[in-house]
Amino acid sequence: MKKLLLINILLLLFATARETIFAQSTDTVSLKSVEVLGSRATLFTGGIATILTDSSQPAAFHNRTLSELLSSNSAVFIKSYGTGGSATISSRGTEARHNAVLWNGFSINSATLGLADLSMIPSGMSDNITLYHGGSSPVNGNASLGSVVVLENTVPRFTPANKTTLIAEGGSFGNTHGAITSVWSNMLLQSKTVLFYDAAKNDFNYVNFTHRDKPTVKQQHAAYLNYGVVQDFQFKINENNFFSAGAWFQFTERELPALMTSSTGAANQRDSSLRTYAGYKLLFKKSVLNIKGAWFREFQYYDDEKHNFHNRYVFNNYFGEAEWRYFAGSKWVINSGVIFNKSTASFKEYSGRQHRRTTAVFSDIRYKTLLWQVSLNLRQEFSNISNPTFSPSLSIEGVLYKKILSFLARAGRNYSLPSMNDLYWIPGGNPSLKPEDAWSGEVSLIFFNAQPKFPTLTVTMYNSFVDNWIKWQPEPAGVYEPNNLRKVHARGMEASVNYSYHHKHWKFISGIQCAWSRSEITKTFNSSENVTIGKQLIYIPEYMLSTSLSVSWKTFLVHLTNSYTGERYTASDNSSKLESFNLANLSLEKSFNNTFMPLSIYFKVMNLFDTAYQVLAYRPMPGRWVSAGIKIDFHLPTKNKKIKL
Amino acid sequence: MKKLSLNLSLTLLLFTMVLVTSCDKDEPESDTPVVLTTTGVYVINEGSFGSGNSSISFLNVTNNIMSNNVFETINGFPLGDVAQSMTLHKEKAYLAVNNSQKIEVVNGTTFSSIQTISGFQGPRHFVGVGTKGYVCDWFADDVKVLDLNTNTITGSIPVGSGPEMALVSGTKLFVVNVGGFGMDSTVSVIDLGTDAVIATLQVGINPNSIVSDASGKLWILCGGSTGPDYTGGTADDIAGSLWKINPFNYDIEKQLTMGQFHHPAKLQINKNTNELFYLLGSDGYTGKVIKMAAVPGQLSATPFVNKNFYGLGIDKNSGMIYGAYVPGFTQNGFVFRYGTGGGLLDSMEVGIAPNGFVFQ
Repeated sequence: MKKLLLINILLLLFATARETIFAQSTDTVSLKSVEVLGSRATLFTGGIATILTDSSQPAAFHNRTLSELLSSNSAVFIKSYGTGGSATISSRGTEARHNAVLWNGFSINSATLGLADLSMIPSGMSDNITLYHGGSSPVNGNASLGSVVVLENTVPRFTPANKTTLIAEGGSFGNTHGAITSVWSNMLLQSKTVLFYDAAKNDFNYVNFTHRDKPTVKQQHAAYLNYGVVQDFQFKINENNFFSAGAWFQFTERELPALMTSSTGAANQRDSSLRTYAGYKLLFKKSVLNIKGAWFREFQYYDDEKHNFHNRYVFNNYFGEAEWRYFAGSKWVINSGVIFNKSTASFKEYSGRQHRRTTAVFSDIRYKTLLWQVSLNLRQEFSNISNPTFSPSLSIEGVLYKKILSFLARAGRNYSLPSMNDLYWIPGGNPSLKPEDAWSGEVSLIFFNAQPKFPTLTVTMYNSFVDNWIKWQPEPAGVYEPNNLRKVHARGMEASVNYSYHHKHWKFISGIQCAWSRSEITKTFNSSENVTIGKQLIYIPEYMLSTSLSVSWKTFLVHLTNSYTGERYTASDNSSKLESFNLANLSLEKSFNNTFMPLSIYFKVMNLFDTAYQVLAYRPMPGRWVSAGIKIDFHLPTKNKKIKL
Repeated sequence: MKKLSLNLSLTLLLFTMVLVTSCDKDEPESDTPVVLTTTGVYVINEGSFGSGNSSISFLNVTNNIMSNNVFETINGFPLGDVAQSMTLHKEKAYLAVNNSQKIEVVNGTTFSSIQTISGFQGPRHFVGVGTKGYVCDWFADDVKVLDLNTNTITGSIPVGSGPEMALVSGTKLFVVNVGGFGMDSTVSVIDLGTDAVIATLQVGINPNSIVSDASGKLWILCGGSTGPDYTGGTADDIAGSLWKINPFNYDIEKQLTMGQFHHPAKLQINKNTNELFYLLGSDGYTGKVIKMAAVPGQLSATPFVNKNFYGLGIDKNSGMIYGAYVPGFTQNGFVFRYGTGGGLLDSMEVGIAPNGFVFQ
């Protein structure tokens, strides 16, 4: 606790320092092109968003995983099974399945499980990673109850560029990390290639306090390997015709370690996936037509030699989308369209081939003046299972006082469809499940002052009532079966403070994000569960606090992050819990600048204070460990620029 | 304005920090002191598979006070993942912790840890015979032999598929093979002198529990099968059965087949060993309490206690019926007690997923 306070006080000092110069980063893309070519999520989601640009992360944290990026830069809870193990997001008191991850507008949540594994997603694969807090189903569809993570590239500029960034890193426990990002563009074509490789033996030492003698032991059977490639192409056919296409291939192999309470694990999991998409944008005088489609194919192999389990799962996900955006004058935008999605899977636990098919129609209407913006979003989804209810949302943003204080309010209805496992898994699967249905509302205040510079402060309060909450529960016959068993009330507060300070050769950037989320069961439809009414849901921390501080002087950079995760209950009657913990990471970086090949070398210390902690009960986590690497940028000549050598 | 804004931001910032820090009370953990007596009942709570949260509860029957989590409270480390059963033998208790692949040995009076024996794949049940111990190792398809002086594994005896429970009768050990993830229908008979299998008896599908009655005859309860997909109630469902066997010449004296989709479990016998009790349900794990007289030994599907339990015990002293109730595997379970006539006496909260009882 003391360490946490110390770090916060340190950050507070910087956050309130006087004599400041504001240096807000501005994107060179004009607002107009974002309005025209930007995604629906960017334009209409509304609410509070945290934009995490991977390239602006210090070299030491560049192109890692989405789980790492989010856990050290936001106050959402990442439920991780350990380094390299699966990691899922929980935001605003929801479970992982209530948080959608969108890649170029397509949900990459597994249709079978309903959730996305963030430990497998490289954070450098897209230019921008935006965390939209709160529910936004009317805009983003299924599973957008707690938050939406949007992975997308910035609107292409079609200016000549040729840059390749290489990262190579090695550290404790056989940690090996490599990434190559290459961006090439001319007036008509833009290409972005991301190659990534991560591997670790993960054989760290830990104290096994679940054993009688509390021995220090080496983590066993926890190695992992993850590599892949993401390729994006953007073509400008002419001023009014744009075509884009991309593919993302990935392979992950991991040993699944046993709990501390058990002996060595013996199971391995291999996942491979190929995700492809293509899109076409046609610009008219006052409107834009956007047609796109995607096909995802995923394989999963689970092998346990010791117990002779061998399972193979294959699933497909197809998407089709047509969207029409109309600009009526300078103030009105109307955006309407239709989205089709079909998920199919064929495995023995489904006793053959099963599918989930949805078609959604949507309409977004936005009215915007210089200081005010009102947005109405409507969506109705139809499916081959029980249909979700009609989802509307209304959001209002406005400036309250002299561009210093603005506010934001949003209310709407969100939904989350049952996963294919919920529907079809044998035994238990329940094809008559209804989608989870949530009414949510939120209000935010944003304090921002550029001259003189003060910290940017955001405070949000939210409330969400979820009905038809799906839970697997043993039935009187003993078989686990999912049912729409609960009503859940999630409420809370989020606050963030961001501050940057630039003086001569010094630069400070600091941020604090904190969240309080109370998520409790208000009603159950199974009397044996009544004891859980009014109790916090399991594995949802009530308190989260994340702080970061970057100090640079000339070519030196020190970056410190600390995240505090509050207590989490492990039993639904709150009879057992895990202790809170602080996790700090530190990196030191030195860059060598030259025009052709700027490079930086870095050294980082993860888990700086060697905290012994558990994210999930009895899953060992590594103590302090170190890593060092190099990042090189190659600025290669482009055709339009003459470089004198 | 400048000052005001700064103050406002500072105040809000401090407020936020106070909010976060003040609510994280570093309060000391208070563990309820455990008083173990010689007249009490241990409750084995297996916990949720893969969560490492099994525990032991102890009921002091003189004052009816239930103490939960006694193993961890006394020993300072958690019991492990899926405690399957507990056996008292020569002032010691042996706890079979299935998914932690170990046997915990504790003092039978103080419950303080003596040793952890590892080297198993899925221990289900311990039986002590003098200075030797026998452990049914479900995943290994064998019975491990232990030297109880050194608490080490000295040998293993291959048996059928998924040995679940063992019972000593005379100079023999009868091991029911529940079938693992598949099916088996045998009882392995081990000679305690040579530690070798001397006979393999054919009974019904998936024998899961065994008791010995007043006449020394063995009763073997077979769960049947809910089919390879575990759904039950379908064409591949095989009903359970109850068998009575002579332990000397292995004659089958009774073979009683249950009704369609009936899957019994957890066979128990009363103090006078003339009344059998078991759980009858359709999933193979839970069921309502059925009571049956060993003589004449006729099946009935009418529940003696009409509530679905996951574990069952009959108090050897009072004759009370103990039912272990599991409302879910992420919340604490309950013990319901019934008098010898089947009337409900009381109920108490225990750990997660209680599956059985040991009467001291």
